Amino acid sequence: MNMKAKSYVLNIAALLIVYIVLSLLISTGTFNSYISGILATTGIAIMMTVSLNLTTGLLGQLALGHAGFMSVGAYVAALITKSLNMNFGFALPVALIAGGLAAALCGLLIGMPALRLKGDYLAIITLGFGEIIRVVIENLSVTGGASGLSRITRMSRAFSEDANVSSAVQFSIIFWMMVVMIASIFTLGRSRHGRAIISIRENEVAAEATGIPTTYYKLFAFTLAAFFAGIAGGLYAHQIGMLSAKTFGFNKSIEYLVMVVLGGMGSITGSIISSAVLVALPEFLRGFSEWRLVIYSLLLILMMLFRPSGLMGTKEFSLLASWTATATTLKRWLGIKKRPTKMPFTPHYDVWEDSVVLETKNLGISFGGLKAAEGIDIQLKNDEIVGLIGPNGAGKTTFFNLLTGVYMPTEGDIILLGKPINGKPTHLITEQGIARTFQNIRLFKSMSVLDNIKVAFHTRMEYSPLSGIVRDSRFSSEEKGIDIRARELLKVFNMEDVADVRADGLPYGQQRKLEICRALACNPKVLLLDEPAAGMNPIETDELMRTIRLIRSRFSVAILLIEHDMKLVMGICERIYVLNYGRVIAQGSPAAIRDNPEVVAAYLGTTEQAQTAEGDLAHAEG
Amino acid sequence: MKKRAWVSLVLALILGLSTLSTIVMAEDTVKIGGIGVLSGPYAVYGLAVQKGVNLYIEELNAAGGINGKKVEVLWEDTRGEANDGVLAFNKLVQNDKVVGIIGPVLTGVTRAVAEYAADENIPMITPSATAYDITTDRANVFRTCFLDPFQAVQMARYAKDEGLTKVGVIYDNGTEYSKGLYEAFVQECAAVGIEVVATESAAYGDVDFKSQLTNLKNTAPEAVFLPYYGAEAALMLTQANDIGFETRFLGADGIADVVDSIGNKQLLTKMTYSDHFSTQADSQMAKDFVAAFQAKYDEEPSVSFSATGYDAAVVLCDALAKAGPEMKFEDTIAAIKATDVEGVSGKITFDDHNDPIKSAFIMTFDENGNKLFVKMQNP
Repeated sequence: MNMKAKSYVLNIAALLIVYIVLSLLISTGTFNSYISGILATTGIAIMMTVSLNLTTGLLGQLALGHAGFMSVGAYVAALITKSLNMNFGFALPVALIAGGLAAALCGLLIGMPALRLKGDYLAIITLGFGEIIRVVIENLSVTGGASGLSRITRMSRAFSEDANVSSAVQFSIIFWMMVVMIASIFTLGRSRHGRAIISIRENEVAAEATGIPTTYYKLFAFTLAAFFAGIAGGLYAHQIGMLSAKTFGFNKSIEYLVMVVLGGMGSITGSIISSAVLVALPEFLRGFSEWRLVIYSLLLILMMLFRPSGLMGTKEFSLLASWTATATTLKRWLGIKKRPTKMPFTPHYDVWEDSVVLETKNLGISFGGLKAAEGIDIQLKNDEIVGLIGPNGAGKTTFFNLLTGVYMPTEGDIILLGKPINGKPTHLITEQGIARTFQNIRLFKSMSVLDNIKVAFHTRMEYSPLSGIVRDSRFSSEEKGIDIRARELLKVFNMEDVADVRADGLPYGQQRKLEICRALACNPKVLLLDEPAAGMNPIETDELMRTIRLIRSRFSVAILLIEHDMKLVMGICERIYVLNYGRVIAQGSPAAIRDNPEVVAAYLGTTEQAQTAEGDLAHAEG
Repeated sequence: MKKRAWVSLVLALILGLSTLSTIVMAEDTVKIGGIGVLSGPYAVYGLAVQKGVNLYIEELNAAGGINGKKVEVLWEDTRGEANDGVLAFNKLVQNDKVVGIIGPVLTGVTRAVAEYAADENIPMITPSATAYDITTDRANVFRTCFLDPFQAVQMARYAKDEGLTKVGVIYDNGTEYSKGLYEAFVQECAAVGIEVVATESAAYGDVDFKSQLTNLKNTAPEAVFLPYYGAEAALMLTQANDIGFETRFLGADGIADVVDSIGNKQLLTKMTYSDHFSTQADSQMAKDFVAAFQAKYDEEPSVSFSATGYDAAVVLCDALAKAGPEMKFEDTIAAIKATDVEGVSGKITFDDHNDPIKSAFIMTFDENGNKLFVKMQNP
């Protein structure tokens, strides 16, 4: 039996055993309604925590109003079962889904403005949302106002005359909803969509530059978390039987946040364990209620002192393998054919041979009257290595930011492969063929080297989030394809043996290389390198020069690089543009640039030192 | 190593404590469940109930208990949360097999728990949940406090008796208590012919009421009805004084603890409110209660839920004694329904809706913030 199958059998067996044992204990009455109540409460808390972890852990955005979404789901679901005059067994699923959708809608509406912004805006807006929704519910007559909704059909009563059997049905519903929710978040987290979400947490700027539509994915993750919270709310309403808006206040949101933090941001299993413990613990401590709060707080403090990254950090206990295996088995049963492996990488080599791929015309930008760049005309041909040099503050990085859509040009045009691209968002520009690296390395640090590359394949993959969750054949064919391509790419750079290492565990030179590698995985026609040799020792720089030459010959890509290391620039560039005060002051071959007195003067500022500078440049050439 | 020692110390502590808690209680006692908010911001009400109940049980046990058996009250904390209240209820009923429940204390929690209590058909008496619907269609759920609307009606009649003709109202549209009182007060004013000249509302959690008070002031009412709890009422009295608003204030039982929150006690002399009990009540039983409470806890039963808690225990134990040795739920419920006993807050009988038929105590304060009993407002 291979590892995957073993883990599959183990996980499924564990789940089934837990389920069968608990539901038997409940249906026979060995576990009375007190214990089954604790189990149900715990299950709902786990759903809330795991879904909040999607926003806070995976996406990396602080949200302070998660209980607000729960209340929306709870009220909508309760109102539906109260008003629908049909069998509770039919009404409940309808109500739960409607509750989830209503919460998701709220998530979408408040996420749209909030998630466009960077920083802590989401925290403030969700905080406001949590309070607003409470006030709204307290003032609507349909929600029962301040007195809330009571006499909601309870799952522990509605399914059978026998209270124990009905409680067992309630347990089954909550248990399997919880399993499905957790498994969905697990599998989603390991699909292209999950990689996109995590890459945003790791480095939003780099994610956008790697072709990830960050706003879309932030909104997607946030809305999905709200959807799950809405479903958990619906279950809560039909478990407790009575709703009051105050239950879902700020404190409740914080309670769930504490559970996420304790379990470890980003660890689903950590969330499960911490919420189970934090919900069940106070119940076991009931016998000495005066000590309850003391012990509870003491545990929190100890936890934060000894495990500041939470119980599990970002580590996981594997449930994934079992899910994959279940999906595979199901597919076999259903007779779904295996799709051929889909390769995402189809480079367009010959089309643009020896022609201009990137051109700027009279490009410029001013920041409130200050002209950071003006009248820049450059041309890049296919397969060319071009240098962009200039003293500090000359506008080199600004120029890169203009090309990649980080800044909007105030004048002029950027033409890529014959089409104007100015004004487009970064991720679309990346998709159309400009990839870049950053002056200060921006990797997705906690992701593996291989996953860093895979993020860059995102735009050339097609499967939907749902495919990612259920792992259908489309998912597996594409994932197999990018796995092959990503490993091929790493092999070109002699990095295949570090594929599974965390990106921040690499030595500096390799981190630079990985960033270049990731940029190439976007399948660019133009590669922008922002000071690739910064911080490198001479040996690493030599290797970098070999790498850059290799890229050109292998990937048929035009390279534009900013660099201060004259040895590197003079050594590999075929043409050089010199920028000063936001203008191109010279262009030509390295030899011509080296001999250009204007360049030398501009570069060092004074004529006195020009001699020395000339000497430096000459030395570099030699 | 040090870490591990710490962690194991804590674990050992927890384990030790949980073993302690499971030590079997003495058998052959009558077990009653007590549910209330014993921690958190509303703990003052839960603790007051607990003191009242425990006092009666102690007296009862000293006098021989119920049919020779000692009575024991097992208390569970709700932290003011519905979910905790339900868990506490299930624990008491399922694990501890109690024969009756006193509590919960807060209306919201009681509303959730009452539903479960109805399923089990266990006798339950809340000493303090004042919302109307809690006992509706639930033959087993009773209360020893009067209702929100009842208090507002009594205050409106009191205002009429005082000869007032123009009143204003300010209420909190975020709490059920405040809204319920407001509606009943306005309705009764219309019935007895008092004009409500201004109605202002504030949101739950507001602390600045100056704009509403100014609006009220401009209509010059003879009194303003404040269906609030003490903390907010203290703010309002102070802020009204700040803006030079001279008028009388009327309130309900929530006002009782206002004295804890107000700096200028002088302002309290303008306040009149209705309460479930007064320590100055003149019945012998009330006098004995106040004295015994003073002796046991070294304080006055200033929160009136101590009295209604005491009465809830009186009613439940009286019914348990009549229900026979098995103390079957339905027998106890029937006995409660037929209750006709003297409690510290007056003679108690129940109407068709399981609400007590009793009088309201009209109260005010002297300039030092001491409570003064004004009169009994009879239904």
